Amino acid sequence: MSYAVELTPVAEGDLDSLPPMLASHVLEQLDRLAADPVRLSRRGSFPHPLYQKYQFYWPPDAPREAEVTILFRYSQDETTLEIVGIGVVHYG
Amino acid sequence: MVAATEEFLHHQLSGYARAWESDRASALAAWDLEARLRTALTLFEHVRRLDEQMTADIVAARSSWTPDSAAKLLAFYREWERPTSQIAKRIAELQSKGHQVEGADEFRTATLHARSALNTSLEKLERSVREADEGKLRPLGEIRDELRRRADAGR
Repeated sequence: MSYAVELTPVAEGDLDSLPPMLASHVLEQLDRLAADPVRLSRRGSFPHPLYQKYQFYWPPDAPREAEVTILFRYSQDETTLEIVGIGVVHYG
Repeated sequence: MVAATEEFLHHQLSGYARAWESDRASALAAWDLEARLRTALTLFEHVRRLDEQMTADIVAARSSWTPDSAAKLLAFYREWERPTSQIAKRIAELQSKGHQVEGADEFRTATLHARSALNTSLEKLERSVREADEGKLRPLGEIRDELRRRADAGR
């Protein structure tokens, strides 16, 4: 089952602050997540154990330069992934 | 039990960070750096285990992270992360000379995980969750269309 995806204004601001290439990759990953959130995500630890966490690396086909963390929860009717945060950190 | 572990880990991490700060070696042999990376990764695993345990306790208590408990955990990640730029530089030096450095990939992953934890703002997350609770959410398709329009306008 594929889920709808919605972002809070805070998460939208996170997405907006990314360089275009990385933002585009994050959008692709959100589509991927929507198709299979159970397999791709895990229960969050820090900062919030009640939310799901999906992490992936950037760039996808080269040494890992950055890690992206998407925090989300399921809507009450379990049809939508509500994205509450998108964080990016760099190596080096 | 956890308090004793926290104190033990605090001493381990501050010794580790201080050792790197006082390191005056002009260059490191690959075997030496690899041994140091193993120490770094073992300490990181200890921090991760503590993170998991603190999280499990919070879930069992049906509670959530408070500024105090978050600050306590983040102090461990911060201490571990302190020498990482210096270590990354050492790894890059050896790799640029054609050396394989065992543990370098795992160290990179651990560094990114630690920085992801440190990058978190509880205040910002709480604000975002409040927005979601209030139904202030926008469909991804709408956002994607807007980003495309903006990119086209910028060309």
